[in-house]
Amino acid sequence: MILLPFKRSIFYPIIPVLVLAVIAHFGYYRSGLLENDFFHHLAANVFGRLYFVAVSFGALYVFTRMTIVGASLSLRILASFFVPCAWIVKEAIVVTESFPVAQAAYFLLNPFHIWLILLVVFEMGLATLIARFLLKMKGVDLKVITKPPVFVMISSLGSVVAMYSWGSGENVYVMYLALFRALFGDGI
Amino acid sequence: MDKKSQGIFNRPFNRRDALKMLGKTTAAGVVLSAIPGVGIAAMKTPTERPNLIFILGDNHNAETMEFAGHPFIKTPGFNRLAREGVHLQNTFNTTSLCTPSRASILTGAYCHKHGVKNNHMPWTDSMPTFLEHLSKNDYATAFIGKWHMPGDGLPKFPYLDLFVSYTYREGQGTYFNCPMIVNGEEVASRKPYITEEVTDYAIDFMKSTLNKPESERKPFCIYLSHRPGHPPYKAPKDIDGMYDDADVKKALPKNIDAWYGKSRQNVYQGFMMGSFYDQYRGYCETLTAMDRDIDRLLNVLDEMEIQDNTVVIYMGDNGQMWGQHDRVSIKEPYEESLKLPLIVRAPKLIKDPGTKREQMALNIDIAPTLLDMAGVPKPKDMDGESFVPILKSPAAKGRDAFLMEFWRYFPENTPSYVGVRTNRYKFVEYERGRDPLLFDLKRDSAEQNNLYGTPEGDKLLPGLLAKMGKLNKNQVKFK
Repeated sequence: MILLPFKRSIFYPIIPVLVLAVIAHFGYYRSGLLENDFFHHLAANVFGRLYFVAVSFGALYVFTRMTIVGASLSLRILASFFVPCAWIVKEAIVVTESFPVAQAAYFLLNPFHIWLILLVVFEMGLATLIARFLLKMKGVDLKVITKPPVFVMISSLGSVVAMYSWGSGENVYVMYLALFRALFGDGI
Repeated sequence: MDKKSQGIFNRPFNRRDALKMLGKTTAAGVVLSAIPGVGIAAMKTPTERPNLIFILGDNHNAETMEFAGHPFIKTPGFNRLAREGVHLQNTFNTTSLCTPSRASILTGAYCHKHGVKNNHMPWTDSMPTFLEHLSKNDYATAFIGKWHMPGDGLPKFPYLDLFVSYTYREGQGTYFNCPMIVNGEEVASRKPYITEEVTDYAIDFMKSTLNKPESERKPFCIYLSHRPGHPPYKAPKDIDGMYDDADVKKALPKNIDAWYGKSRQNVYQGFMMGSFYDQYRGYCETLTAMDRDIDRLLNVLDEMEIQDNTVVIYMGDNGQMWGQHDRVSIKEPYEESLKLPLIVRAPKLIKDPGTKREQMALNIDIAPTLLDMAGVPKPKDMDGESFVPILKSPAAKGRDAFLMEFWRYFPENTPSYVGVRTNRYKFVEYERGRDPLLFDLKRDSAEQNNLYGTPEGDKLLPGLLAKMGKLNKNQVKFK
């Protein structure tokens, strides 16, 4: 099958995830405007979940799709990080309301964001296996399970679990604040 | 520039100045006490002086108590305190953040004076604590529980007879099996749950103080600082899940949904931290756990037959917004985070137990109030006022305004602000990022109608700015 240039481009898989994230964002944050309690909670639950899925798990689709069309590893990684990083940058922009740019930039390293990045890395490993499996089903001769993607999955997911299970994530947060003080003092 | 030419409000106020002033004030108090009927300086004899127990909660929203009308929380201990004491229902903190508020409680001073401005700043030791004043006046003193100021370990307070605290996780400690530091030595926890642990230390201290021979016996003052309701919310087994079936929507604003999060409704954080409703249930459960140990403490006072001569004060360090004004925060200048729960049981002072007081009280009033109850003159460097006259009489005159000050605290998204709250109005101006706020609290108690920039607001503003300037004395400058 010969794909059109657009279908091979980085934008093709990103756009549906980004559109879903944007629609879900507005859907969730506008849900409180619904007077009817039932519809408010219905909309919040549906759009809230979609938003979370788009930001947190969109990379799974993006990386799989780009692997299937044969995109380079660097492009696959770049595309997979696009939506999660856009969300992280949006959050850092929000805190410029209170903090100077340097401190808002440090906000990018918030443990929530680190967890998200590690989750995306895990999804890249998983997506590699999924894409290989799909290609093999189409008759491509390749080995589905190899050491690199499995190592990526284990190390990234292991890091997420370790960071979160170590004092329910509080210890990592304490370290994050300690580093802030080392860099910015009291931050005032 | 020498100290005199700097002027009293511009030069730094250090510990030596404070102690010098304390010495002069005490001397003046002793002289005055010799003159019948002069001021509060009539020093009480040790046997007349009450025992003092000050209990501090964490992030305790002022309405989250059963007797205050909360729809489902059970707080028999608070109910009892309010029934046997007085509920000061217009109590506020001057800086709505844990560490600065705690420093203000200990020193009786605004943050711009004691210098602890946010949770990243360690104890400055620039002013004596009320415990130091009481210790110098023959009180047995104990600090037990959450210190919650950063720095290299705990500060040195040699005047304390007992100092029990923890430094674990930035001084937040843990709800279960928290390692404790007792008079400088790290020891394992004796009870698994933190409120039981610190209450036991308080009870032991009371007993050991009162079991001393009469010639050595002193009245005691205990500062008992609890961890609830600080996240992550973990209640003891028999309370955990107590509110699983509670209809939390009755207690929360209408705009809230299950995945509501921090940082301006950040849904992602909502997801990561679990259901917002479950977090709120957990918050209430930790408060109920604390309440149970407060009730236990009251029962021990009864058993020891010292309840009539022991003052018990409960207050929070700051409030907590649970979605009001689309914020989950303790730092915003709205009523839900400014307002504190304050209940005082003082049988010998309060003639109308079970009642409420409308007058404003502040976190900075705790220190001068405790000193007043102990018959110790208020040092001049304290900004707060004793609310003993208000406890004695519902008709006593209260203050008409106070200064609100807040310095930004990374990473929580609230800009620095300074403001004034009067009995009727509130004006706040931010350092950056947001427009000023001006509310008429009498007509708009929910603070929904910002009058800033309206013709009505324009008329009110000069008076409020003048009042703020008078309270501020150019100490807080953000612009």
